[in-house]
Amino acid sequence: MMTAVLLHQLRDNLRSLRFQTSLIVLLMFFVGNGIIYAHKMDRVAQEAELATHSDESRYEGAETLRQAVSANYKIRAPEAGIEFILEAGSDWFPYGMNVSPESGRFTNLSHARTVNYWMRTFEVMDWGVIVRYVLSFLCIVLSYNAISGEREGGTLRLVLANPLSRGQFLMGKFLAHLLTLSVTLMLGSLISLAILALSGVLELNGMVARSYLFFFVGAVFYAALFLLLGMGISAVARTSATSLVVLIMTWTALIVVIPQTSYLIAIRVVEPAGFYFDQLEDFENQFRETMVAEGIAPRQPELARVDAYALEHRYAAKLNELDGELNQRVRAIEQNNLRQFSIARGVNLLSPGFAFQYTVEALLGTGIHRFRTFRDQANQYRSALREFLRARDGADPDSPHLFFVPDFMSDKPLDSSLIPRFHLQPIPLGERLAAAVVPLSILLLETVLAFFFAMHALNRSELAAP
Amino acid sequence: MWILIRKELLENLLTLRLGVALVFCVILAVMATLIGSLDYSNNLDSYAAESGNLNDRNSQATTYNRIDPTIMVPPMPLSVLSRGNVSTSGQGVFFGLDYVPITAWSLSDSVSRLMKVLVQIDFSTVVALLLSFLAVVLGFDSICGERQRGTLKEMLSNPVPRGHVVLAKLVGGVISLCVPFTLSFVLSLLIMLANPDIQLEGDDWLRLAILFGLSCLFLAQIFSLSLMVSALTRDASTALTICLFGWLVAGIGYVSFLPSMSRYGVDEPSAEIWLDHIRDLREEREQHMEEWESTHPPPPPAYLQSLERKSRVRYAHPVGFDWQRRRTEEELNKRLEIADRGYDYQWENWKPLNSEAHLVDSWAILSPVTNYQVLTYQLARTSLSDRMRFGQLGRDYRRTWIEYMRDKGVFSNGRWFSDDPADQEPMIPDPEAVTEAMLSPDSPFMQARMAWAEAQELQAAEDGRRQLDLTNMPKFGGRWKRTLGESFEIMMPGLLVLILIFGLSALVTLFRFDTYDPQ
Repeated sequence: MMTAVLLHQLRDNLRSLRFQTSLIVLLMFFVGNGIIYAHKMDRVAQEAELATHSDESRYEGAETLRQAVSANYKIRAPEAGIEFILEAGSDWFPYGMNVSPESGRFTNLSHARTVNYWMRTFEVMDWGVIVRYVLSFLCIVLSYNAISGEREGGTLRLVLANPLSRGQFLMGKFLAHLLTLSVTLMLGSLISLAILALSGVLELNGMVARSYLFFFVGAVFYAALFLLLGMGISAVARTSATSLVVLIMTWTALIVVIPQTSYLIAIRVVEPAGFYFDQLEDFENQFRETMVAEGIAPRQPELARVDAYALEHRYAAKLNELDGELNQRVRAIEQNNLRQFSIARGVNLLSPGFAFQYTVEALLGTGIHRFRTFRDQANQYRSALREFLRARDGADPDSPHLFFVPDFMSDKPLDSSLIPRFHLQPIPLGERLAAAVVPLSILLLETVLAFFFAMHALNRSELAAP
Repeated sequence: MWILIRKELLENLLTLRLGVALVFCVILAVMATLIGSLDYSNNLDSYAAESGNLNDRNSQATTYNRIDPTIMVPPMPLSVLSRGNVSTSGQGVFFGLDYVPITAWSLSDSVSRLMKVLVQIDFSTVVALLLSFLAVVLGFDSICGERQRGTLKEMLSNPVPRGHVVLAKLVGGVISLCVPFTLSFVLSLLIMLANPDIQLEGDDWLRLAILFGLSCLFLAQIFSLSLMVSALTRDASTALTICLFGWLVAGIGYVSFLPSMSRYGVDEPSAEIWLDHIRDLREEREQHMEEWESTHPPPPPAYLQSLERKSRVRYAHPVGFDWQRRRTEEELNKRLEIADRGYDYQWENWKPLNSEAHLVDSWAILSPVTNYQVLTYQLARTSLSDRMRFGQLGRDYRRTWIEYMRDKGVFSNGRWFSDDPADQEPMIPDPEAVTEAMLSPDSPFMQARMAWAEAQELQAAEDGRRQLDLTNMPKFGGRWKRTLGESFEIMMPGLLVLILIFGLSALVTLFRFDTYDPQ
């Protein structure tokens, strides 16, 4: 009997103008996504090539160990390759770092590629946004009169006169809607994939397939949530028009408004660091001036050799102290920024849209998880670089071994291809799953609640319009 | 006619859907303004702190190289309602000798880049998305719905011209929409007035009045569009489908697509190109100075010994000072030349990015929702073009500032880097008698001289001759705020399109309704 309801509803859906328009709109969005990202990924790949070249030239410029110490390297995280599914900040997060092994310099995060600061903040057109906004909207449009419409048309009483429980009736309708939307979603996303693959910017491999699967399952749960919500409200509301207004307002509050408040809440909870470079510069200047005032300054190397670099050893130790303090301050600011962003994420989680978004972000290992991984690995990279240079310097008996003060380190030639390069290691699956636990359980909990709400509403619903 | 309007009003205002929507809209609008107002106070505080720091630093400067010519302006009061490109924060133009500014930055750009992925809400967004949706819901079934219920036929059996019926629907609908809007607007205004930080001044009140009118016009336009759909269709559910999807695509869809679309086809050059150029320029400068030094050899090191604090040089020997003075003059001229070339490189690199961002504003005209939003930005003076205008004024000011310093001879007389008076006793009075070993920083001789310099430093703090005379320094006086007339000039295309769409859709509805079959 439930299958009969399901099939009937499927037939109805396919014939309705509403569904046909939904299909066209959703496909339109996905085609737009395909075209935009085919262009964007191509441009990003070109830029990455240029950047790699520029970065490599900095390594190659270091002909001696001394130069390798004083050089300023730039390391970057490569594109994740799934930006069309979830951009997750890849445009904005500082996925690059300036690293210099020299003492007294701090590593600071910077952009990995061109950023347009003139652009107002906006939602990018990735699959995540299409699902968050468009798919949930379609769910509402398809389900707002699921019960109230039948009641107004007088068919509800007739249907339930059959040997069919209300639960079965609900499930039948729900599954029919879910099925139509899932197929539409699959169609749309496959078209987008096809556009990207045909334009040569995307290689269809296991990673893409896995990401696609995670995304799709997440999206289906998310769609289920809004369908159930729509059916529930539709059972409660007196007329379809009221049901629609209530639903759209709920949708706006959940999907549009809650996420738009997160920024302001977060910067009120955690104070932004402001223009901290000025403060760092002031601190550094002051530190260096005090050093000069105390007479701690390097001498000419010939002069210094006389007393076995006694003064320069003190100088190197002081610089090392400065180095530690500067880097610690920058780390604290980064930590502050991350904490601020987690508050914003916490606010966003109140919206089911972001429960979906963050679940998929975690499973795909992108977004803040990827950024945090990059930051940690990039910070470790400086130590690895220094370790390498220290070992090379140790092999040179003529060097004064004043570590990371370039003028007092080995002046021997260095094969620059031996300097370790930075490679971002992916996040292991276990960590990704662990990160997904919170948003996923929120999403599931909300879906289950919506289901009970819909059941309850239908059970108590009048069968005929008054 | 009035009876018809009253009927429409009663019909609209008494429905549950309007009630629900009204409550929602008012709550959200109030919340958006409240958040904006809190944010404004926050930003005003940080503006005050930043500009206070700046003034402190500048008042402590005794050499010209310590003067930071940055211009900062407070946030725009109307940005509370419409954040636009500038947002509720103050703006600054950052520049110096080495850097020609391209644009003004909003001071909140210093907030971490992670936060850049978050979209923010304001009053104009609530009107653009929520109230426009209400307009859609009120309008979609007002003709075809009445036909289905059969009331249309009854009404038309009365001796009223059909044109009057449509006009009554239009006027009634717009007035019903203005009720929640006015309520939200007045409450938002009260919230703004309750915040003592927000000082409305000059033509701000006039702008607020225009914002009110503009928003009503926008709602009328959306209502008229959905009325048109209603007149063009036979049954309410078709009209609803068209209206809803129209709203989704023109609102949410277009808003999100626009920035990505504006990047399409624009050749975005990599920042690496520009940064490489800048590196080359820096090398050129260093090379230039090396060449200069090879033709103008410095005096022996003992002549150059001095006390350097915060890039300010004191107690140098006159011979060393003279050499440093000439070197600085040469370097400053080179730096100014390189700054201009660096600007050209950067602008060449950033121009496409700038036009992308401008395209977002100019293509906004294609959708009523985005068109309205951009119009409010322009009205609140928070649009990109207002920001660029301020940047241009900053560029002009930089030129004035440099001219002023050149006229005072700052670059050539050593006042740029040193504040020593003419009779200042040098740190090393007789450089000829000093050996290289004595110059080592840990030698007793140098330690003694450093101690002497430190003692001098204490006295120097009281020395009035070291102070800079900045009374004639030109202050930034550019008209960075657009006047109402100038704002209207940039709003013109958007306004025309808004009125045009409104008029056209009303006309289509009128003509279509003349032959509408009420059966």
